[in-house]
This record gives sequence, structure tokens and C-alpha cells, in this order.
Amino acid sequence: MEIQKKKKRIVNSSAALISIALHVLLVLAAGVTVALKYYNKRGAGFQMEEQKPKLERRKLQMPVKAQPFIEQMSKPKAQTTSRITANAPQMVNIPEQGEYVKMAPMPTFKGGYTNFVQMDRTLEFNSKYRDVSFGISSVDFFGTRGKAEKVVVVVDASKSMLYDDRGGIDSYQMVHEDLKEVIANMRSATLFNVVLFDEDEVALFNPNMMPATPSAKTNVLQWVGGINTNMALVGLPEGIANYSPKRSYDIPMDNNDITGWLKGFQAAVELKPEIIFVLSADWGNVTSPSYGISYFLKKDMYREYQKKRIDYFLEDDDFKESWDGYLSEFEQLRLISFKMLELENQARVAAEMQPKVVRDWDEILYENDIELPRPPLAKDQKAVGMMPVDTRYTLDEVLESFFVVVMENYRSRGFPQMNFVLLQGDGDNGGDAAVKASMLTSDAKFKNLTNMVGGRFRYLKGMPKIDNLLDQSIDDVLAAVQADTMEDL
Amino acid sequence: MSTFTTTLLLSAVLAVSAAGQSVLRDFSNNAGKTLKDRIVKYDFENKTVQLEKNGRVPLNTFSKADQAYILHWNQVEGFKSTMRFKIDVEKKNWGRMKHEQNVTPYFMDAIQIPGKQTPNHYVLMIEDYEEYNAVYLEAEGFQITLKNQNFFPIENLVVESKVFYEQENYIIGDSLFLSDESSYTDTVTTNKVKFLSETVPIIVPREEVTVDSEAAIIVDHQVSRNSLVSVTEEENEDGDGDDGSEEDEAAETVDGFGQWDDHARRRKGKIDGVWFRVGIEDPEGNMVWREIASPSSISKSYTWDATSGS
Repeated sequence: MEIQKKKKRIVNSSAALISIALHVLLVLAAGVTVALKYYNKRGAGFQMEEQKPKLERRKLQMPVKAQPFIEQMSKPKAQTTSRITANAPQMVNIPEQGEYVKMAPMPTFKGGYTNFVQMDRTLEFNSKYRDVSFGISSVDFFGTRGKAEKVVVVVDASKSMLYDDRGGIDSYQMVHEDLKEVIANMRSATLFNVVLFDEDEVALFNPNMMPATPSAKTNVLQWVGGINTNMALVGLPEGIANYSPKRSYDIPMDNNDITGWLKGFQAAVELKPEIIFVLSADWGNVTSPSYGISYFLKKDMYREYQKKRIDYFLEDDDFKESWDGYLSEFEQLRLISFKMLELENQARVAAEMQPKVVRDWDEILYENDIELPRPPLAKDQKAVGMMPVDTRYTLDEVLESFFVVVMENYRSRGFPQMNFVLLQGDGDNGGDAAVKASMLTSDAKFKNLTNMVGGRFRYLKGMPKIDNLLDQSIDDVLAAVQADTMEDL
Repeated sequence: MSTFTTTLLLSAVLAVSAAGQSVLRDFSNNAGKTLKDRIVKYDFENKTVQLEKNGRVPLNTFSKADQAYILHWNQVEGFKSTMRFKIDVEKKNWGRMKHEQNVTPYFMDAIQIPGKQTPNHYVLMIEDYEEYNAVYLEAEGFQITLKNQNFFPIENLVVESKVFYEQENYIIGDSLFLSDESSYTDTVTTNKVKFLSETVPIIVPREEVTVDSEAAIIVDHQVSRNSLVSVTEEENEDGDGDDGSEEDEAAETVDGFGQWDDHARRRKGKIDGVWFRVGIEDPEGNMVWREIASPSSISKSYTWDATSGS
């Protein structure tokens, strides 16, 4: 038994040795086979000829010739290895050098056809199938960086960029300088566009994306160059606005209520760039200077609400009398504010400064410690028949509109890169802390949106605040107003 | 592929012309001779046409117009073949965005001061409460893949799609004054359909082309509010508000916020499916369509014409 056991062990160990040896042989054989195959085989695909691209001739949108297909057939001019056996790529017409920029290798030859228009058959290959080294520019717009072939910069051209607390016209000079640098550094094969917005109005430098050729760069800088450099012409010049939406969107916001950066952004999105930079002074078209609250107004609803609100108060006979008092006081304060502004600007002109840009006529009153009388709040808000919340879009409604506009244009391409820059006034801390925490301020909203879309957010720190030259008293200004009235009479 | 995206080829071909049989027509050769026959088959490699009565005839014996007709006929046959021209649909999630926050609810009145362009605001932060607010946005769509396994290209295809989805919306706005009303939580569902038509100029042999449907935006929104203070304190505050000075604490005089403690509402949406149809014009000028829906029940729930133009 003992011997048998020993024998068995010997037999077992021999079998194990043979097995190990066989396995080693098999592994070696497999390794050699793989190595041989690896060295012999080269990846299927077109091999690009190495040659210096002629950048100025790059056309990223390649018109498809409306010729019978058979005539278009030709063997590719790109070098291919002998391992390429697929027929499909060989039947593709490779555009001639000089006529089109050469297409990149297409690993599986899958094309995506989107948005073909019957009249203008344009074949847009998704950028991932292109050689991506030609037109990519590194863009640094006020610290928000990105690399892309197709770039759109959306810039606030409204007077809100020029308020005293935001540094006035000198802050806008910073915008000009940065924009100049961004555009100058673009490679000529980069497709770009510049969009300017001023409240309801949006102007595109070019209706479509265009290559950043030296002449295009000169033209766009000339186009932007005159904006907000002269206080006599604040905002977008008359007749420059040229944008209307290319399609209708199923969104919570009314088309007329999409203003400011959101409208400029919509114009940019419709150009389908790979990266969008937005510079704005505010989130919405209504921003309260005292609270820092910024939102988009439902214009029609707001008008209706104000009418209902006044009607509600006028039902009370006692209120009628006090309302007349309010009205006359407002009118008097309005005249005072105009006079204050006039005197302040006279002083600024004398000091060789640019005139003051105000949000509304009551701003200069607050700056001189004069408060407007406070109209009462409705005791019974339900009796007004409408809620103030109905006069503005919630953040969620704006986000939904934003998302729809982006995704209806980009669909399978997903989000483009989106970076936001907010002009920050000197000493501006974004408003009241509680208000800020509740997402009512411009910076809180932009920061959150940027996080949501995986973009970058930066403040553009404006020039130092411009203080009023005159410290005006209501009595002195009132006397001046009365003197003017007497003079007129 | 999920069960949702499992697709069903509804009807292989919806040919306006007689299915499986070509039109009887007059063919002419280069010398001007004519014959009346019907094409049975075209051999692309040997460039010969199999006619019903006259048998196999080389393509180049026909007139130029007839050659074009035969090649066009062959393309349509190649398109109609489910083996040689494959169609598949897949559901895609193209993008999503999420916003979630806990905030202090507030009441804000906007008042138009005569002569002013912008409204003046009165803000009352309701600091005794906390509000949870969330919105999830998803862009969903479908991608149709067309694979040409013929030995010849297929030209001038039309791809039409209808994506069906539904979305709930609130009946009333999110006013604090209304949050204790029963209608505050009510929603109304809207059925939506987005139509898109695109053309594909050419699909070469062995090529795969993908075409997207429109994006369906699905919104899931919710609000929930909780009191951070006891009811007694709240009552005391209300009492103080009623007695307080209107000039100094105008906002506190606002009554009727209601008992909206732990008040919540939510609205959602969902995607129902997609209906694609791919078409090519036959030599007689009629459209030949192939259709595919995901899920297949979409084509039973809707009719194409009834939803067109939406």
C-alpha cells in the first residue's frame, strides 16, 4: 500500500510537470502569435500624408456635390496599408487638396447627417471624425479658458456695463482689450463669431460662423470697436440688431421675455459652436440695486399686475387721496433727480470725465440719501386678483428654457462648453446674504448654472467705482428746479 | 439594448406601387427599338437586367433614360430589402441638468413707480421656513441607424421622425399665498409630439448613417416647504404683524400666507416612444416608406397622419 501510494505520487507529479510544460509551451506559442500579429498588423484606417496644411483654405462645412454618385467614385489619394480590405472607405471621394482640407481618418466610417436642407446640401461631419489639430484655438476670455474649433463670444453691450459702481466706461475698455486679444490669438482655421446684446436687441457680427482670417479679425474688431466708447452713444447702435430666432422653442418663457445674455446665448447656440463665452453685467432684465435680486420679467403679466394692483387700492376711497399725494411727490422727486443728474454731469464734464450712466432716474436720489416714498403693500393680496410671483420667471423656468434651447439645437452632440463671466462692481458683494443664499442674485445664479453645465465662471473685476463729484442736498436742488421753472415762465 | 428600445419592424415596405412587382413599361434601346416588359431583377455586378418576358439583357443596350430608370429601380429594391438595407432604432440620453437647493422662501412684490422704467421691490424673506427646490432636466431622443449592405449606393433618402412624450404642468403659480390651496398640487398633463424631417443624400455600400430624432425634454420639478419654528411663535409673529407699523414693517402686514407648512408639489414627464419612417422616391415618383417604432405599441396608439404637423 505504501509503495503504491508513493508510485501514485510520482505519477501525479510527472503528470503535473508535463502539464506545466505543455502550458508554458502554449503560453509561449500564443505570445509569439500575438506578437507576430501585432507587428504585422496595422490599424485599419486611412493614413494621412504628412504635409503642412494650408490653413486659409480650410472649409469645415463641405458642400456635397449634387452629381450622380458613380461620377463621384474614385480611389482615395490617402495612403493606405495593404491590410485595409474594407471596400467602403475606398469608394469615398476624398476631396482634393487645395479644394477642401483633407478629411481625417475615419475609424469605422460612420457619418452623421443632421439638418440637411434640400436647397443647400451641406454635409457636416461631426468634429470627432475630423483631424482636430487644424482649427483649434486656445481661448482665454477673462480667465475662462477653452480649446475649440468653433468659438462664439457673447458680450453685453448694454448700459448696465457702464454704471458708476461697475467702473463706468473704463471697465468696458477692458472688454475691448480682452476681446481684441481673444480674436487676435485665434488660428485662422478657427470658425468664430461675436454676438452683442443689449436688452431685447441682439447683433451677430456674421449670420454664420466664419473663419478667423486676418480680414475677418480686422472687421470684427472694427465692428465691436465703436461700442460703448462714447457716452453719447451707449448700448447697441441703432439698426445694428440683426437676430431673430431660427426656430420656435417649446419653453416656459415667452419669446418676448427672452432678453439680455439669454437671447445672445440663444443666438450663439443656434450657430452650434463647440464653446461659448458669455460676458454679462446681470442675470435678468430686472435687477434691484438695493437687494441685488436679478430676474427675467414676464412683461405682459407685469403690466396686468400693476393695473390690478392700482385698481385694488383705488377701491378704497381713503387711498385715492393718498395716491394723488404719492403721484405728486414722485413727480417732484423725478424733476429733482433730473436736475441732480444734470448738475453732476456738468461737474464731470468740467473735470474731463465721462457723464454718468444711471439705472433709472431714482438712482441719483438714493446716492444723495433721498428715498422715494414707499407705496403700501396690499393688505389682501388675493383680492388683488394676481400674485406678484406671476410677474417674473422662476429660476427653474429660466433653467428649463436654457436647457431646451441648448438641447434642441445640439441633440446628440450634447452640451457645448459654456463659460460665464460676470462684471463685478467695485465693492459689490452680490447683495444681501440672505437674498444671495436664496439664489436671487446674478452671481449666485450664474455660478450655479456654470456648475450645472460643467463650465467655468469668473468675475470680471471692473475698474474702481466712480463716486459722484457733487454731494447734493434736496433743498438746494429743489431751489434750482424752482429757479429753472421761474426762468421758463 | 433595453426592452424599451427593442424595436419592431412594422411593415417592411409600404410601397405605393404594387409590392414586389415592378411596373410594366416601354423600354427602348440605343437604336430606338422598344419593348414592353417588367423588370424582375438587376444584376449590379454583371450589369444585366432580368426582364419578365425578354430574359437577361445587358444594361448598356438600353437608352440612357432607361438605364437611369433601371438603376433607380434597383436602388429602390435595394432599399426595400430588409436583409440588405438594415434599420435600427436606439434610445439615447443626450443631456441632463440638475438643480437642487435649500433656500429661504421669500415674498417679493414688484411695484411700478410712476415714470420709472424698472420696478421697485419689496422683499420679505420668510426665514422661519425652509424650502427645498429641485429640477431635473433630461434631453432624450432616438437615433436611427441605416446600414446599406447592398453593393451599390442608395441615394436621396428622407428620414422622418416623431418623438412622443408627455409632461405635467402645474395649474397655478408658485405663490406663497396659494400654497395652501388644493389646486396648488394639481397638475395637468400635456401630450407632446415633435416631428423632424431630414434628407440623407447618399449612403454608400457598407456605410452606416445615423439620424437623430428631435429631443424630448423631460422635466421633473419639485418643491417642498417646512416650518423651522413652532406654530405658537408663528401666531405671535402674525399678531405682531397685524399690530405693527405699516410704514416701518410694511411686509409684515401682509396677511394670508396660509398654512403651507410641509407643503409640497411635484410635476413630472416621461417619454412614450418614437416613430421613424424612411422613404425613397421610386422611378414613378411615388414615395416608398419603411417604418419602425420603439416601442412597437406607438404605432398602435397613434396614426402617422393624425400626428403630422405637430
